[in-house]
Amino acid sequence: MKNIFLAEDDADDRMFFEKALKIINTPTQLTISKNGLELMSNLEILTAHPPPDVIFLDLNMPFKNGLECLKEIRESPKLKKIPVVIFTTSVNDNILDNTYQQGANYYICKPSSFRLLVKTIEMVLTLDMKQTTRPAKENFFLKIT
Amino acid sequence: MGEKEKRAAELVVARKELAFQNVEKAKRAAELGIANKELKQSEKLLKNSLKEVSDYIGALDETTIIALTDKNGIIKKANSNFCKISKYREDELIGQDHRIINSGYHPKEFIRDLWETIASGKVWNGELKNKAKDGTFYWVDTTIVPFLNDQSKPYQFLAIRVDITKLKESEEQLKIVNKELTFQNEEKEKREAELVEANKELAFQNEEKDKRSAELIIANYARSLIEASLDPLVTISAEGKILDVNEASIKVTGVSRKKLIGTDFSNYFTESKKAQEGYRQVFEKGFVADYPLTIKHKNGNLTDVLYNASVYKDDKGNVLGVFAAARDVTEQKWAKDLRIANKELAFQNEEKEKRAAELVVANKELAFQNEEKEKRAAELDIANKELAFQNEEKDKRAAELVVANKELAFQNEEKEKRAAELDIANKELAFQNEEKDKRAAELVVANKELAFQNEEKDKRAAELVVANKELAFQNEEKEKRAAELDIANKELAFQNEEKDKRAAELVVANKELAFQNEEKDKRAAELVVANKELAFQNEEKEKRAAELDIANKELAFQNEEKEKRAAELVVANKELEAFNYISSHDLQEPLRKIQVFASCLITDESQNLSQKGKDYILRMEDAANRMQGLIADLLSYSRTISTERKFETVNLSTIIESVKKDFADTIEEKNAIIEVSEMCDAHIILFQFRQLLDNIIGNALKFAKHDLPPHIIIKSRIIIGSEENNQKLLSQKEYSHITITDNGIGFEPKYKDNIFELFKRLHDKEKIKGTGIGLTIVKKIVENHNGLITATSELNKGATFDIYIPYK
Repeated sequence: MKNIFLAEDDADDRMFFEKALKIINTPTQLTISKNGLELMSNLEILTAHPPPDVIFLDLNMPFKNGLECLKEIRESPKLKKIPVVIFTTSVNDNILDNTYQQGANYYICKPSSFRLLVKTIEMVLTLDMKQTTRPAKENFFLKIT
Repeated sequence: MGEKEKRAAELVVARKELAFQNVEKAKRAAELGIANKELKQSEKLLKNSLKEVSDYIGALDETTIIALTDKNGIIKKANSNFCKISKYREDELIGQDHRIINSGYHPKEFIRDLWETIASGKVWNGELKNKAKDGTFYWVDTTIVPFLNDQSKPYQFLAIRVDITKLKESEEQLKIVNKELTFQNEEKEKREAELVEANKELAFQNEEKDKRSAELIIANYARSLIEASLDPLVTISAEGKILDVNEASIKVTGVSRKKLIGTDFSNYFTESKKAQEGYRQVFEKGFVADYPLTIKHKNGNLTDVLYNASVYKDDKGNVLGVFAAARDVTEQKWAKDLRIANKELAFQNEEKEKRAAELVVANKELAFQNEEKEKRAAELDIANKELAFQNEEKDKRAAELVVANKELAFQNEEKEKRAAELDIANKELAFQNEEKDKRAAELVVANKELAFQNEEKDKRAAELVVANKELAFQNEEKEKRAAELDIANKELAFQNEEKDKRAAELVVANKELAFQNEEKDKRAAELVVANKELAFQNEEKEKRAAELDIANKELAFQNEEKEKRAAELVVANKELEAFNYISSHDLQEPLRKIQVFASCLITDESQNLSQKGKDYILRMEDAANRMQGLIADLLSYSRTISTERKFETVNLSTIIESVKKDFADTIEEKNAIIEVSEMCDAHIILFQFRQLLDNIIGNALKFAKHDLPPHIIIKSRIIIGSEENNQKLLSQKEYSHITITDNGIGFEPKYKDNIFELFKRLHDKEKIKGTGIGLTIVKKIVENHNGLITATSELNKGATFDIYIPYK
């Protein structure tokens, strides 16, 4: 059972994500946060329990955006080891650099088909991000075709 | 003085030149002499010698004044220099002797010496002053060489002359200047000597004046003493003429001083012969004492006097005259007579002794008073008062005497005669007293006159003292000027020496200057050329400056325009960034959802869809995908414009490897071969250049022939602009040259420029996917690097892209 966190303000995208998880064979437990504030509060609550295996983090969110969340997580002794995958619409070199420096594990562009979305999540779930060290910069941007 | 120095310098230079020429001439003359001897010795040598001589003469003829005369001095030949200086034509000179140019300046002895010298066969050399035809004079340094025949007798003379007129003129002017200077110096010395004499004379005059002043003081003193005397005093010349008299003499004779002086001394005595006798005695004995004479007043009064006289001499002992002083003895006689009378009266009238005694006493008193008065002659004021008082007393006593005499007459009728006589005597006494009063008054006047004269003399003495001081001051001034003149003369002498030295120095300096002047003339000529060149260049520069000025104004205007446009661009960039954001995020998100929903429809609902419905959904999906590609490309394109341009030097091989990785799937799918060789460094904006290669390689893979696996060859190397046949490259600049060649479908050559235009597509989008932005981005990136890209191709024969990026 993989414990997965998703921070996503868009309802459609949340729906796609949940739908994709149902297709995937791996059993998962999903905690959804609709914005950055909610994510951080959910993380606070769950610190007593086993930490999430991965956080899928959207960047463009109201109240507290993904970058702010990433910074807080990496600066928090309790949370800083949790793998974070940036899951966003657009690719921008500045943001790519920024998130890598802030300590995100991977950067993924939201796929433009449901098939690719399933494939992407499956792939992320196969990665053992807790054990291995962070990928090199050139492998940070993960492309699924 | 400047002129003088110059001329002195010129003179020295000219003299040296002359000396040199003289030496040269002497040499030539000697050579001529040798030639003559050789002439006698050998007929063969004669011709050679003649030629030599004629050569010499030819040379001399060019440089000097030459005349050839026969043994009598008749001119046989005259060269052009001779004609030029003498202003005679040659035909006027030929046949004449040298008297035609005789100036008459030289003495006959000089000319004779000349003739004797040359007639004896010797060479004569000297300076001659000659007269030209127009009467002007000129000076020539002349050498006359006699030509001797077998008997050593001259048969003709060759006169060689050099014009030294200017030299002589300078010399003469110098002489004149020297004479003038000498004359001025002599004049100054004379004046100095005169001043010395004048000073001596003044000193002598001052001494004389001092002496005379002293003598005057003594004389005045002596005169005042003489004038103070009541006795008549007189000086008489050896001839017996009166030289001088005092006031007393004037009184006693009644004759003025003027009239007395120069007349005979003996004229003023009752017995002139006795006077002459006394005078003679003085000369014999040197003096006489108490010599009695009677002075005759012009009114007839007589004065008995005793003369005391002595001779006076000059400092050499010569007798100059007689000094005589007379003593009036009239009163003494009267007193004596009176005493006798009184004694007789007393003797005759013993009984009437009281009165007689009184009379005796009175008479004694009178006698005593008279004696006192004589003593007190100098103390006239007091004496006169006393006299007045005494006269009153005498009057009283005279009256008493009258009374006494009357009583006596009454008492002694017999002795009336005596009484009457006494009366007469008393009257006479009164008269004499009156006379004495008058004389006393006259003496007062005389003393006042004397005092006045003394005052006048004191004034003159004071004036003389002032005059003497003035003279002494003038003497000092003259001595000062004499001393100044002495210094000035020494200074002049020193200056003359200095000038001589400087004249010598100037001679040297002039030579140096002449050399420098030549150098300067050369350089001046060079400078003239250089100045013209410079003037031309300046004009050119001014033209260009004017052009530049216009260009600068244009540039300034353009800069303003650019600044405006830059400001506009800043605004535009902000808008572009906003568009970027919208493109990258807000547009992509709904599009992506359309794509996902479409894919969900196909996956989840395929069983509920008809075949037609499925087809629609697939077409929709395809359109959405193309839109996604458009947005991505537009985003890339805008980023090449708006993003930061950070240049770095990297090796192209790393970028190629990275691009190959991007296309790894396609390469594998299409069995493509990408051949990379000779990768060089390039100075680039890394992410843009990567985008560039991505697009080109992507196109090469995309536009492959369907039956031929893509074969892409990538080369790069550093080149210099001039190596390539492309005029747009700077010939001396280094470029990184990248060539990418494929074996794809290519394009027609006419499209080689169009293919870089935005949204330009050469192919049906149904067959080959594409947005038409890729090569536009490539072109834009190359331009961002100030580089150049060209595309060459033929249809179906592949394409080659040449990229030139400036290397550092």
